[in-house]
Amino acid sequence: MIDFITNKIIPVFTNIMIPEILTIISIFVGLLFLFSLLSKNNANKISYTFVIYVVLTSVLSLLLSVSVIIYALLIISFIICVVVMFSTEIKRSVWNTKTSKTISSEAANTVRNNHKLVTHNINEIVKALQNMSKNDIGAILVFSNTKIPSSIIDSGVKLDSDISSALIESIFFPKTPLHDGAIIIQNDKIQAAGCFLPLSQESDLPKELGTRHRAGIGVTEMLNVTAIIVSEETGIISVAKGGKITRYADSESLRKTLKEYYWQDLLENVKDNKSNKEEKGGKDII
Amino acid sequence: MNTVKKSKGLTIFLNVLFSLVLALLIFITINVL
Repeated sequence: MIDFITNKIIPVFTNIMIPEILTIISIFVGLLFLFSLLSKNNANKISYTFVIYVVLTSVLSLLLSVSVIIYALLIISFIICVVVMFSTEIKRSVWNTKTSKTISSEAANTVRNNHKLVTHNINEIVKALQNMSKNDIGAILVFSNTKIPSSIIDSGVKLDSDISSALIESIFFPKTPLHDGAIIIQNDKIQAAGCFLPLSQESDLPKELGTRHRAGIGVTEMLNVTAIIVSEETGIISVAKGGKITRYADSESLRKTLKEYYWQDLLENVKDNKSNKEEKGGKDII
Repeated sequence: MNTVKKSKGLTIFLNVLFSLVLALLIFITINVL
């Protein structure tokens, strides 16, 4: 055993150079991604199984002196199994890193130049939310100024229509084909309706929050968006942002939310692109 | 709250430890083989 360590393992470290260090770092980063993915999804048992599997495979491969290809295949096969099992979660984490807080300056300028349009849109959304809340109609609206993954948009029906309270209320009217999904609002357009959103896996959520609320929280956990949810049972309006939900939103707080979380982002983006003189004009919009 | 923070810290520590140990083990095995 000691001979094996002195003859085989120590020489590996004596000739260590930059490429070897980079190899170790790349394996380390890959494994760290795998372990953090597993621990985020409460799959610690798989992490421990993987550790035991790799240790056993490595020891046995060293003892039996099997080919490197067989050893690599054994390790890769386990990783492939994990990737297949957690394909949805991997997709989510990739979406999350790819979405940035960017918006096309053209779209931002359109909104900026239309003070009336901004006020009109906010009024229409608040009106629709309040009407649906009064009539206990369940609804979920996602406000985004980032790129929504195409799989979410494709799960519903693309609309690309102007924002109007009548349209929003019609979409969520019970027993209509699109009422069960979410509306995606991007800039001054309703991009799509009837979209399916990823559900939050958080176990600490109150029991009175149903699937619609879970979807609202889930999408804000994953993407840089704001979701407004109207409860079908109670008519309570909730606002979800960054995986956190605030319940009992009234007209004022909804307006504030829409300005802060949605239009404010547009204006901040415009400010970055414009000169100081134009920035001063931009503040008047809000 | 503290318990949650502790368990989160422990998880990160374990993840880093496992990754480091396994990365070294895989590197050694590949080189020896």
